[in-house]
Amino acid sequence: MQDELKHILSDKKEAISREQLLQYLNGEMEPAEKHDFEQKIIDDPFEADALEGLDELQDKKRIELIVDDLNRSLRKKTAKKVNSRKRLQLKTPWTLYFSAILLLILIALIFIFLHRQLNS
Amino acid sequence: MEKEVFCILRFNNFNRVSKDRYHDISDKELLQRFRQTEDSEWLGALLERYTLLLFGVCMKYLKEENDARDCVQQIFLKVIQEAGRYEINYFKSWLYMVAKNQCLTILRDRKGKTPVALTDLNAPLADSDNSPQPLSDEVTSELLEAALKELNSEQYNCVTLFYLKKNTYQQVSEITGYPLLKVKSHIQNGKRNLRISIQKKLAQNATRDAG
Repeated sequence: MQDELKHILSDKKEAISREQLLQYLNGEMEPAEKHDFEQKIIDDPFEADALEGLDELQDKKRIELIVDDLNRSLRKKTAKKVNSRKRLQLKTPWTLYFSAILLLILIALIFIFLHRQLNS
Repeated sequence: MEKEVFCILRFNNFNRVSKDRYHDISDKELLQRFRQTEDSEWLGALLERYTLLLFGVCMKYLKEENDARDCVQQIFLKVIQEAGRYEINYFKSWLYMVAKNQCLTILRDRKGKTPVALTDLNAPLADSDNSPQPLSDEVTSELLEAALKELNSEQYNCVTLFYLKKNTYQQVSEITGYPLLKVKSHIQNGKRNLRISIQKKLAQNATRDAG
Protein backbone atom coordinates (compact mmCIF):
# COMPACT_ATOMS: atom_id res chain seq x y z
CA MET A 1 0.00 0.00 0.00
CA GLN A 2 2.76 2.44 0.92
CA ASP A 3 4.75 1.71 -2.17
CA GLU A 4 1.68 2.07 -4.27
CA LEU A 5 1.00 5.47 -2.77
CA LYS A 6 4.41 6.69 -3.84
CA HIS A 7 3.75 5.19 -7.20
CA ILE A 8 1.15 7.85 -7.91
CA LEU A 9 3.76 10.55 -8.16
CA SER A 10 6.39 8.73 -10.13
CA ASP A 11 6.62 9.75 -13.74
CA LYS A 12 7.05 6.72 -15.92
CA LYS A 13 8.82 8.09 -18.94
CA GLU A 14 8.80 4.95 -21.01
CA ALA A 15 8.28 5.21 -24.71
CA ILE A 16 5.26 3.39 -26.03
CA SER A 17 5.41 1.55 -29.31
CA ARG A 18 3.12 1.83 -32.27
CA GLU A 19 2.04 -1.78 -31.79
CA GLN A 20 1.15 -1.25 -28.16
CA LEU A 21 -0.98 1.72 -29.09
CA LEU A 22 -2.78 -0.24 -31.79
CA GLN A 23 -3.33 -3.17 -29.46
CA TYR A 24 -4.84 -0.86 -26.90
CA LEU A 25 -7.14 0.75 -29.45
CA ASN A 26 -8.27 -2.61 -30.77
CA GLY A 27 -9.10 -3.75 -27.26
CA GLU A 28 -6.58 -6.57 -27.43
CA MET A 29 -5.12 -6.00 -23.97
CA GLU A 30 -5.76 -7.69 -20.66
CA PRO A 31 -7.06 -5.32 -17.95
CA ALA A 32 -3.70 -5.33 -16.13
CA GLU A 33 -1.82 -4.52 -19.33
CA LYS A 34 -4.38 -1.89 -20.12
CA HIS A 35 -3.89 -0.25 -16.77
CA ASP A 36 -0.10 -0.18 -17.16
CA PHE A 37 -0.45 1.34 -20.58
CA GLU A 38 -2.87 4.00 -19.38
CA GLN A 39 -0.56 4.86 -16.54
CA LYS A 40 2.30 5.31 -18.99
CA ILE A 41 0.51 7.73 -21.25
CA ILE A 42 -1.40 9.77 -18.68
CA ASP A 43 1.53 12.10 -18.08
CA ASP A 44 2.30 12.64 -21.73
CA PRO A 45 -0.16 15.09 -23.28
CA PHE A 46 1.06 14.26 -26.81
CA GLU A 47 0.29 10.57 -26.41
CA ALA A 48 -2.93 11.16 -24.49
CA ASP A 49 -4.21 13.53 -27.19
CA ALA A 50 -3.25 11.13 -29.95
CA LEU A 51 -5.05 8.25 -28.29
CA GLU A 52 -8.18 10.33 -27.89
CA GLY A 53 -8.07 11.29 -31.56
CA LEU A 54 -7.38 7.79 -32.85
CA ASP A 55 -10.26 6.50 -30.77
CA GLU A 56 -12.61 8.64 -32.86
CA LEU A 57 -11.82 6.66 -35.98
CA GLN A 58 -14.51 4.03 -36.47
CA ASP A 59 -12.44 1.58 -38.46
CA LYS A 60 -9.28 0.99 -36.44
CA LYS A 61 -7.87 -1.30 -39.12
CA ARG A 62 -7.39 1.73 -41.34
CA ILE A 63 -4.98 3.40 -38.93
CA GLU A 64 -2.00 1.36 -40.02
CA LEU A 65 -2.78 1.92 -43.69
CA ILE A 66 -3.08 5.66 -43.16
CA VAL A 67 0.17 5.84 -41.22
CA ASP A 68 2.06 3.82 -43.84
CA ASP A 69 0.64 6.07 -46.51
CA LEU A 70 1.75 9.19 -44.67
CA ASN A 71 5.20 7.73 -44.09
CA ARG A 72 5.57 6.96 -47.76
CA SER A 73 4.83 10.54 -48.72
CA LEU A 74 7.17 11.73 -45.98
CA ARG A 75 9.99 9.67 -47.48
CA LYS A 76 9.34 11.28 -50.83
CA LYS A 77 9.49 14.70 -49.27
CA THR A 78 12.73 14.10 -47.44
CA ALA A 79 14.44 12.27 -50.31
CA LYS A 80 13.70 14.93 -52.91
CA LYS A 81 16.20 17.47 -51.67
CA VAL A 82 19.07 15.03 -51.71
CA ASN A 83 18.27 13.92 -55.25
CA SER A 84 18.12 17.41 -56.67
CA ARG A 85 21.40 18.21 -55.02
CA LYS A 86 22.98 15.11 -56.50
CA ARG A 87 21.68 15.97 -59.93
CA LEU A 88 23.14 19.45 -59.65
CA GLN A 89 26.50 18.17 -58.56
CA LEU A 90 26.87 15.44 -61.16
CA LYS A 91 25.06 16.40 -64.33
CA THR A 92 25.14 20.15 -64.73
CA PRO A 93 28.89 20.63 -65.28
CA TRP A 94 29.03 17.98 -68.02
CA THR A 95 26.13 19.34 -70.05
CA LEU A 96 27.61 22.80 -69.64
CA TYR A 97 31.06 21.73 -70.90
CA PHE A 98 29.59 19.77 -73.73
CA SER A 99 27.41 22.60 -75.04
CA ALA A 100 30.27 25.08 -74.69
CA ILE A 101 32.58 22.91 -76.79
CA LEU A 102 29.83 22.35 -79.34
CA LEU A 103 29.29 26.09 -79.59
CA LEU A 104 33.01 26.75 -80.07
CA ILE A 105 33.24 24.16 -82.86
CA LEU A 106 30.21 25.68 -84.54
CA ILE A 107 31.69 29.19 -84.41
CA ALA A 108 34.99 27.89 -85.75
CA LEU A 109 33.24 26.12 -88.63
CA ILE A 110 31.25 29.20 -89.54
CA PHE A 111 34.39 31.31 -89.38
CA ILE A 112 36.28 28.93 -91.67
CA PHE A 113 33.35 28.74 -94.04
CA LEU A 114 33.01 32.51 -94.28
CA HIS A 115 36.77 32.96 -94.61
CA ARG A 116 36.92 30.57 -97.54
CA GLN A 117 33.99 32.17 -99.28
CA LEU A 118 35.50 35.64 -98.91
CA ASN A 119 38.89 34.43 -100.17
CA SER A 120 37.44 32.75 -103.22
CA MET B 1 1.09 -15.86 -17.59
CA GLU B 2 3.69 -13.23 -16.91
CA LYS B 3 6.03 -14.93 -19.27
CA GLU B 4 3.44 -14.80 -22.00
CA VAL B 5 2.98 -11.10 -21.54
CA PHE B 6 6.70 -10.66 -21.68
CA CYS B 7 6.83 -12.58 -24.93
CA ILE B 8 4.15 -10.39 -26.43
CA LEU B 9 6.11 -7.32 -25.50
CA ARG B 10 9.30 -8.71 -26.92
CA PHE B 11 7.61 -9.59 -30.15
CA ASN B 12 6.29 -6.06 -30.38
CA ASN B 13 9.70 -4.60 -29.94
CA PHE B 14 10.99 -6.79 -32.69
CA ASN B 15 8.19 -5.70 -34.94
CA ARG B 16 8.90 -2.09 -34.29
CA VAL B 17 12.56 -2.56 -35.00
CA SER B 18 11.84 -3.76 -38.49
CA LYS B 19 9.78 -0.67 -39.15
CA ASP B 20 12.15 1.90 -37.70
CA ARG B 21 15.33 1.84 -39.73
CA TYR B 22 17.31 3.74 -37.13
CA HIS B 23 15.79 2.28 -33.99
CA ASP B 24 19.09 2.34 -32.12
CA ILE B 25 19.63 6.06 -32.66
CA SER B 26 18.02 8.49 -30.24
CA ASP B 27 15.86 11.43 -31.29
CA LYS B 28 18.57 13.81 -30.25
CA GLU B 29 21.23 12.04 -32.26
CA LEU B 30 19.07 11.96 -35.40
CA LEU B 31 18.38 15.66 -35.09
CA GLN B 32 22.06 16.36 -34.67
CA ARG B 33 22.92 14.34 -37.76
CA PHE B 34 20.34 16.30 -39.71
CA ARG B 35 21.90 19.56 -38.59
CA GLN B 36 25.42 18.46 -39.42
CA THR B 37 24.74 16.93 -42.82
CA GLU B 38 21.66 18.97 -43.80
CA ASP B 39 20.36 15.70 -45.18
CA SER B 40 16.63 15.71 -44.52
CA GLU B 41 16.48 11.93 -44.64
CA TRP B 42 17.61 11.93 -41.00
CA LEU B 43 14.77 14.24 -40.16
CA GLY B 44 12.39 11.98 -42.07
CA ALA B 45 13.48 8.98 -40.03
CA LEU B 46 12.86 10.97 -36.88
CA LEU B 47 9.44 12.18 -38.01
CA GLU B 48 8.34 8.67 -38.96
CA ARG B 49 8.47 7.74 -35.30
CA TYR B 50 5.75 10.24 -34.60
CA THR B 51 3.46 9.85 -37.61
CA LEU B 52 0.89 7.84 -35.68
CA LEU B 53 0.83 10.28 -32.79
CA LEU B 54 0.62 13.26 -35.14
CA PHE B 55 -2.30 11.71 -36.97
CA GLY B 56 -4.00 11.06 -33.63
CA VAL B 57 -3.58 14.64 -32.46
CA CYS B 58 -4.91 15.97 -35.78
CA MET B 59 -7.87 13.59 -35.52
CA LYS B 60 -8.62 14.86 -32.04
CA TYR B 61 -8.85 18.47 -33.11
CA LEU B 62 -10.10 18.23 -36.69
CA LYS B 63 -12.35 15.15 -36.35
CA GLU B 64 -12.22 14.42 -40.11
CA GLU B 65 -9.89 11.75 -41.45
CA ASN B 66 -9.02 13.59 -44.65
CA ASP B 67 -8.47 16.89 -42.87
CA ALA B 68 -6.25 15.13 -40.36
CA ARG B 69 -4.20 13.54 -43.15
CA ASP B 70 -3.69 16.91 -44.85
CA CYS B 71 -2.78 18.44 -41.55
CA VAL B 72 -0.10 15.80 -40.88
CA GLN B 73 1.39 16.51 -44.33
CA GLN B 74 1.47 20.22 -43.53
CA ILE B 75 3.17 19.51 -40.22
CA PHE B 76 5.80 17.42 -42.04
CA LEU B 77 6.54 20.29 -44.42
CA LYS B 78 6.67 22.78 -41.60
CA VAL B 79 9.10 20.66 -39.61
CA ILE B 80 11.32 20.08 -42.66
CA GLN B 81 11.43 23.83 -43.25
CA GLU B 82 11.89 24.93 -39.66
CA ALA B 83 13.76 22.23 -37.79
CA GLY B 84 17.10 23.61 -38.94
CA ARG B 85 16.34 27.11 -37.77
CA TYR B 86 15.60 26.60 -34.11
CA GLU B 87 17.50 25.27 -31.18
CA ILE B 88 15.43 22.23 -30.26
CA ASN B 89 16.17 20.62 -26.94
CA TYR B 90 13.42 18.11 -26.77
CA PHE B 91 12.10 17.15 -30.18
CA LYS B 92 8.95 15.41 -29.02
CA SER B 93 7.48 18.36 -27.15
CA TRP B 94 8.56 20.78 -29.87
CA LEU B 95 6.77 18.61 -32.44
CA TYR B 96 3.66 18.47 -30.25
CA MET B 97 3.63 22.26 -30.13
CA VAL B 98 4.02 22.54 -33.91
CA ALA B 99 1.19 20.02 -34.38
CA LYS B 100 -1.18 21.84 -32.06
CA ASN B 101 -0.44 25.18 -33.69
CA GLN B 102 -1.12 23.72 -37.12
CA CYS B 103 -4.45 22.30 -35.96
CA LEU B 104 -5.32 25.67 -34.43
CA THR B 105 -4.54 27.46 -37.70
CA ILE B 106 -6.78 25.09 -39.64
CA LEU B 107 -9.56 25.46 -37.10
CA ARG B 108 -9.29 29.24 -37.33
CA ASP B 109 -9.58 29.10 -41.11
CA ARG B 110 -12.58 26.85 -40.73
CA LYS B 111 -14.18 29.03 -38.10
CA GLY B 112 -16.08 31.07 -40.66
CA LYS B 113 -17.97 27.96 -41.72
CA THR B 114 -18.60 26.14 -38.46
CA PRO B 115 -18.23 27.21 -34.88
CA VAL B 116 -15.51 25.36 -32.98
CA ALA B 117 -14.57 25.05 -29.36
CA LEU B 118 -10.93 25.88 -28.81
CA THR B 119 -10.84 25.39 -25.08
CA ASP B 120 -8.67 22.32 -25.28
CA LEU B 121 -6.01 24.07 -27.28
CA ASN B 122 -5.66 26.75 -24.64
CA ALA B 123 -4.60 24.22 -22.08
CA PRO B 124 -1.07 24.88 -20.86
CA LEU B 125 1.56 23.01 -22.77
CA ALA B 126 3.51 20.54 -20.74
CA ASP B 127 7.14 20.64 -21.73
CA SER B 128 8.96 17.55 -20.67
CA ASP B 129 12.05 19.63 -20.03
CA ASN B 130 10.18 21.22 -17.17
CA SER B 131 8.76 17.97 -15.93
CA PRO B 132 8.37 18.01 -12.17
CA GLN B 133 11.34 17.00 -10.10
CA PRO B 134 11.13 13.52 -8.70
CA LEU B 135 10.01 13.79 -5.15
CA SER B 136 12.64 13.20 -2.52
CA ASP B 137 12.65 10.68 0.28
CA GLU B 138 11.19 13.34 2.52
CA VAL B 139 7.80 12.45 1.12
CA THR B 140 6.43 10.00 3.63
CA SER B 141 3.35 7.92 3.05
CA GLU B 142 1.61 9.85 5.86
CA LEU B 143 2.21 13.03 3.91
CA LEU B 144 0.87 11.40 0.77
CA GLU B 145 -2.19 10.07 2.50
CA ALA B 146 -2.96 13.45 4.04
CA ALA B 147 -2.60 15.11 0.63
CA LEU B 148 -4.76 12.46 -0.98
CA LYS B 149 -7.56 13.15 1.49
CA GLU B 150 -7.51 16.83 0.58
CA LEU B 151 -8.62 16.08 -2.98
CA ASN B 152 -12.27 16.55 -3.82
CA SER B 153 -14.33 13.39 -3.78
CA GLU B 154 -14.40 12.86 -7.56
CA GLN B 155 -10.63 13.19 -7.89
CA TYR B 156 -10.05 11.11 -4.77
CA ASN B 157 -12.23 8.30 -6.08
CA CYS B 158 -10.71 8.26 -9.53
CA VAL B 159 -7.11 8.52 -8.33
CA THR B 160 -7.44 5.74 -5.76
CA LEU B 161 -9.34 3.45 -8.12
CA PHE B 162 -6.79 4.02 -10.87
CA TYR B 163 -3.46 4.09 -9.06
CA LEU B 164 -4.09 2.03 -5.95
CA LYS B 165 -6.70 -0.46 -7.12
CA LYS B 166 -5.11 -0.59 -10.58
CA ASN B 167 -8.31 -0.36 -12.57
CA THR B 168 -8.44 0.71 -16.19
CA TYR B 169 -10.18 3.94 -17.26
CA GLN B 170 -13.09 1.85 -18.44
CA GLN B 171 -13.41 0.09 -15.11
CA VAL B 172 -13.13 3.32 -13.14
CA SER B 173 -15.83 4.79 -15.33
CA GLU B 174 -18.08 1.79 -14.71
CA ILE B 175 -17.55 1.85 -10.94
CA THR B 176 -18.01 5.60 -10.48
CA GLY B 177 -20.53 6.20 -13.24
CA TYR B 178 -18.51 9.14 -14.60
CA PRO B 179 -18.02 9.32 -18.37
CA LEU B 180 -14.62 8.15 -19.66
CA LEU B 181 -13.29 11.60 -20.52
CA LYS B 182 -14.26 12.90 -17.08
CA VAL B 183 -12.41 10.00 -15.47
CA LYS B 184 -9.26 10.89 -17.40
CA SER B 185 -9.38 14.53 -16.43
CA HIS B 186 -10.15 13.71 -12.77
CA ILE B 187 -7.09 11.47 -12.64
CA GLN B 188 -4.86 14.04 -14.36
CA ASN B 189 -6.08 16.95 -12.25
CA GLY B 190 -6.03 14.86 -9.09
CA LYS B 191 -2.43 13.95 -9.68
CA ARG B 192 -1.49 17.56 -10.33
CA ASN B 193 -3.26 18.74 -7.17
CA LEU B 194 -1.61 16.00 -5.18
CA ARG B 195 1.79 17.15 -6.31
CA ILE B 196 1.06 20.79 -5.52
CA SER B 197 -0.28 20.01 -2.08
CA ILE B 198 2.72 17.82 -1.25
CA GLN B 199 5.13 20.53 -2.33
CA LYS B 200 3.25 22.96 -0.10
CA LYS B 201 3.44 20.59 2.84
CA LEU B 202 7.15 20.04 2.30
CA ALA B 203 7.75 23.78 2.19
CA GLN B 204 5.77 24.18 5.42
CA ASN B 205 7.79 21.46 7.09
CA ALA B 206 11.01 23.07 5.94
CA THR B 207 10.10 26.48 7.40
CA ARG B 208 8.94 24.85 10.63
CA ASP B 209 12.21 22.95 10.96
CA ALA B 210 14.17 26.11 10.25
CA GLY B 211 12.15 28.05 12.85
